[in-house]
Amino acid sequence: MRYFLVLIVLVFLFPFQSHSQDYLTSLSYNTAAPTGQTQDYISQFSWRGLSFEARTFFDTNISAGVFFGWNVFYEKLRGDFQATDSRTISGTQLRYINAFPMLVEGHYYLGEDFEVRPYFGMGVGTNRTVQRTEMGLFAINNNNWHFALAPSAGFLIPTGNYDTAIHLALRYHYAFKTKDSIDHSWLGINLGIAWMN
Amino acid sequence: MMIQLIDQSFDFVRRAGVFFLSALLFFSFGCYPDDLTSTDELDLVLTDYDRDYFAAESPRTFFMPDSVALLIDPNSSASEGAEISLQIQNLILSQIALNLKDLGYTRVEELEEGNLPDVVVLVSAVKNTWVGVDWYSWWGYWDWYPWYPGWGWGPGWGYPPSYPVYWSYETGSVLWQMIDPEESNRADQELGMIWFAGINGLVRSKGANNEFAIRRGINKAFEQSPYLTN
Repeated sequence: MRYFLVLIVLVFLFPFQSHSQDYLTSLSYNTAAPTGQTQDYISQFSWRGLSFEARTFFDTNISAGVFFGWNVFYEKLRGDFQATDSRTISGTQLRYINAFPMLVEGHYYLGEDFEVRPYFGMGVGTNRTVQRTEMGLFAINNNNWHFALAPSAGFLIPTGNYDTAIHLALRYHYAFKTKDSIDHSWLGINLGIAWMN
Repeated sequence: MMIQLIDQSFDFVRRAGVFFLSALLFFSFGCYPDDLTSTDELDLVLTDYDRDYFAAESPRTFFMPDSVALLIDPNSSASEGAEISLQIQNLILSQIALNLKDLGYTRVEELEEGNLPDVVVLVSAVKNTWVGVDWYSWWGYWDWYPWYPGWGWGPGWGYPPSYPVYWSYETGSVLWQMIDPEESNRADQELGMIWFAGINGLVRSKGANNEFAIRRGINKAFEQSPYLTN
């Protein structure tokens, strides 16, 4: 975690050239489709999430920044669950994952300032997962920090007001497994507003 | 240039601050959508069995005592004063016996040393009462907060008045084990358990609902144990 904080400080202390667009901040509504082992645990699409991004531009086409997100995965299951080869538990099960990715990102942009700008990039950092399984009157919590990677691609679509743009992005999150946890992965579909200075 | 840079920085910090304040709240508690619609959804049924035993044996006779043992933890106040009524005990025992009979088992009324039944079924129950208190205040506990439109700290609400909300509920479990008397060792106080079943849930306020839940749970335990069939 402390290495992640050092990276954040370095990104924003890095000297940059002055040009028309220096900063970008964005708030987005996040949805997510679970994949891999996350999908094995919770198969339902997530409609709950949000994120904040801040980027600083080194030149017209390259930026570095940070991403903070939150996604909620939830599913209610009923029926028999085979806990082991011989043990069966039946009832209603509530499964939750609250995922908090925290990433340092770099992006490359096509096009020019104040035009529709596609971009793509990569984020690296950490992902905090708060996993909870409730069954009957009992609950099991499993909270972990994961090393995480997140390639992303998106569009910045100017609204006509030079300072704002519609921000549409796809981001594939992959949180590597730990000794106490499965790996977690999902495809994030984010829609928000970006402010550019 | 410097003023513009400072202005941009404040703007960035303000936007970041709004996000982090809300994110901190969510991060602290997470989000747990809960759409349980009835107390029935809190009922659990658990079964476990000895695969090797049922792969080799087909028990046909069983003995079961005519009472339910009430398990009490002397170190816990939750089970203090717990009791199981005779009506509920009879319900539990009769429902288990009925299910075993439907599976082809024959009940023997007495244990005889030289003529032991194939299996012995032992039934027990646990009942706990949980109590607590929460402090209720719908507008939260902030006493300082940043005000719009600038950034700063100002006086706000003090700690709001609130009132205590007391709650209590009872939980109950019925547990029964199928024992192979041939594999049990009295000297070592070991029981050869070949099948275990348990049901757990809230104790309902209405007796009829309790009886229905117990009956349903016992039936479910046998339903998910097809290996018991003779």
